[in-house]
Amino acid sequence: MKALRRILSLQMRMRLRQLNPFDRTQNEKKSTGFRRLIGIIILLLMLAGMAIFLEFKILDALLVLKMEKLILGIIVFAAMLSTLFFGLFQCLSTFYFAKDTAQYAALPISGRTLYAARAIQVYLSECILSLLLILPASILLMIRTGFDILFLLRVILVALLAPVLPLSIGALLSALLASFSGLWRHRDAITMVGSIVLVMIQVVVNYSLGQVTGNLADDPELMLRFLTGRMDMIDMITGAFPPIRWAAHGLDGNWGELLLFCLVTLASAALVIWLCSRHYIEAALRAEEHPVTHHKGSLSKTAFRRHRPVVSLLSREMHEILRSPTYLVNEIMGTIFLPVIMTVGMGFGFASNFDGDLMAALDEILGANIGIAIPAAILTALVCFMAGMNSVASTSVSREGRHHGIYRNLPVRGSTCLWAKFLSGYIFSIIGIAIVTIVGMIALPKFCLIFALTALWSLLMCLIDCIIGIIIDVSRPRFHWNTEQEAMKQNFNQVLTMLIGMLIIGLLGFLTYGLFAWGMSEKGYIAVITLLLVILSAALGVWMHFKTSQRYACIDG
Amino acid sequence: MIVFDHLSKSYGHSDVLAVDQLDLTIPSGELFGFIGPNGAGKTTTIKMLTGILTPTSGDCFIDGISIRKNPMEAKRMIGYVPDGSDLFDRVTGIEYLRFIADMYDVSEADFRTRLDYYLDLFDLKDAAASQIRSYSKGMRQKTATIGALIHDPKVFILDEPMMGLDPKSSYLLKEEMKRQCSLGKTVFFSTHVLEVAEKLCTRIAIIRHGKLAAEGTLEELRNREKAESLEEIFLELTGEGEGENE
Ligand SMILES: Nc1ncnc2c1ncn2[C@@H]1O[C@H](COP(=O)(O)OP(=O)(O)OP(=O)(O)O)[C@@H](O)[C@H]1O
Ligand SMILES: [Mg+2]
Repeated sequence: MKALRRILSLQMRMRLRQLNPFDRTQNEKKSTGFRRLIGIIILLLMLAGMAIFLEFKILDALLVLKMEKLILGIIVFAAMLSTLFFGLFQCLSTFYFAKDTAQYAALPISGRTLYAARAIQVYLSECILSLLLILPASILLMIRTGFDILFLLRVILVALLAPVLPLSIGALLSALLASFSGLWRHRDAITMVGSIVLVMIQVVVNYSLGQVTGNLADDPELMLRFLTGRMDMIDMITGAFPPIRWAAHGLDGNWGELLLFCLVTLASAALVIWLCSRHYIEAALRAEEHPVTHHKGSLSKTAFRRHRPVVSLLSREMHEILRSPTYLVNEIMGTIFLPVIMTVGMGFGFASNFDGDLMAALDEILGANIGIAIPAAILTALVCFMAGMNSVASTSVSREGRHHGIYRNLPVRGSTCLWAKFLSGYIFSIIGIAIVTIVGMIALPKFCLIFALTALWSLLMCLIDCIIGIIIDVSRPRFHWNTEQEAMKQNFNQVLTMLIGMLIIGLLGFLTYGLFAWGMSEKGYIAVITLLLVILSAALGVWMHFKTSQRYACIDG
Repeated sequence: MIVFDHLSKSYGHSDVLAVDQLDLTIPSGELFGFIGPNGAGKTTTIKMLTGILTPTSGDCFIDGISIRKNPMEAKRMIGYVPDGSDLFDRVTGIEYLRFIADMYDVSEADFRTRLDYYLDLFDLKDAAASQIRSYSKGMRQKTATIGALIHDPKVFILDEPMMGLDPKSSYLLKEEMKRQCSLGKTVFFSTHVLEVAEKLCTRIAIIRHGKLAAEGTLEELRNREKAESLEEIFLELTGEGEGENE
């Protein structure tokens, strides 16, 4: 127990210092600390603002329908699902790919203690998400419907416990994956394929959970039953996973279900920690053993071929990403998976809602006078909203980590390094967009033009996103990380890039509105937007090539 | 006392053995040098001895306690300085050492006296309050060494301990190793500096391709190989017949 406390306090201290903007080595200026602090505050405000705005809107709509209690179900649902989603990678990388495991292994610490300490660490870092989702909505609800101290207590209890169950599932899955892949020689490949499969399963589960709610809108009879009050909406939304229902009912004042929720949650955590911490250190250290291949004289000819520096740098970046499960899965998720799922999902959505006369329905919706520009703009915004999470580009400098010195030492221009990094990220965007376009064109051949325009705009927009990501990462790189998950996912630079990307999309949205209101023709609008995007990407490209590369060449690791 | 019992290791399901049926007994009070070419399996052996790697087969015993069956108790007796000394970087030297001491249940009084002694010895008093990420390589190495000695271990294990140390620190470390040895502790270290091994060690083992090539006092090795210096013996034992077991 004492050892657990000590490990925890050490981890906390390191984590807090990592987050503390004023924690610096002697050679950093004090003003950087202030700038960082301000940046972090703005970022947090923006994130919280977005969550609050969204929840506010939902609550408003629900109040009109006199179904405000429904928000409780929705937020618990959202908190648990998103924790499940991010938690899997968090667990995998914290438990099985941390770089400091060997340091702990030499000390007389039992695997169980170390596992428990790390589990608490994972929990604490995922807790923030749940608090951010659940607290604002509940407080808004209280403001609207009256203050109640017991309700507040229940909210805090649920917000704190909500991440536990999904994280237990994530921990269990990652333990299974780690021990399964440990049986094989090509461990990394299996881990990678395994985590992609798990993600796909999650997506399917999410999708089918989403369908449950979707059904309500489709089914007039259900709707009627619901409106006449013969059906509990919370049950409807959360029927698929009972703990969510218990939590939602518990929030609503059912102490029995609240107790049930707490007990099930805590029991699941205890069970998972007990199960997974057996032989934990051995399992975790397996990540440090690499298969030895003895190819005497059998090196392929390509191994000797000469390349230009930028090509070599690019292939090094790609190797790093392709050989690390954490990097690859994170990247594929954001840049390729989400946009594809979205378009495919939308396609199915249309198809199931208007069976048979799909085309007629779409024609009707789009109307003859809207043409291709608006749908393409909306689709672009959606694709880029997700593909903008290009974590490869926006963390490419931070990911150098301890090896930054090697790059600085190369007799290669900074701009060459940066373009290689840019390409390594942009390639993934291109793949994502290509899939979306091809799937779209095949599924809805009539709207080929829309998809073509979407592809063009998305390519430009993602290019901008990638360059911005690199510019930001160069200006505030974070070299001290311990797990690849930290290097990539827990990198504020990535979020910052995403937000700036969204801001640009938002501004373009306003511009669209303005231009059409002003009476511009469709062709003119397409030309203006395309031109704007081209100019912006060229300007950013020039900026990165000259300014940022200078800065890159003088970062102190 | 350290005993290796038919110790073998292959990494990641490969069929190549990094350490191959190693048998060795090192009595207490011995200052034991472990030498061999790059990739011979020194670090691998040491990692199995300290419980960081699980042997593929065989076992290690520290004072008769198996590291596989009773890892916690065995680890309590070990002080280990890894090669490369990758330490937690966002803690200060003092915090790091106190953490290590906590893991071994060192009382506050003991901690203070030992800390004073070693910080003085290695000239780290000034740096101890700043974070490890601001340390130089040698400073990290010294911090790791103090960390290994802070709980007064029965067995002191070092992997290439002189790497990165300045001449004075290197001298001090050697003296410290001798002192530990004279207190009846077992000191086991790997090195590439043959002069150090020659001057310091009471016994030496040479390992090659994961197998024990020779073991004994310097005198015994000299007589057996009919060579004068350790360098000649080393080259003799590890150089010839490169292709013999490929
Ligand atoms: N993490 C690892 N994964 C796979 N194989 C490894 C790993 N570490 C070492 N090996 C292999 O094990 C063998 C022994 O390596 P080891 O590090 O023990 O050598 P060493 O004697 O310490 O060498 P050096 O003098 O260079 O430090 C080598 O063939 C090496 O390729
Ligand atoms: Mg070594």
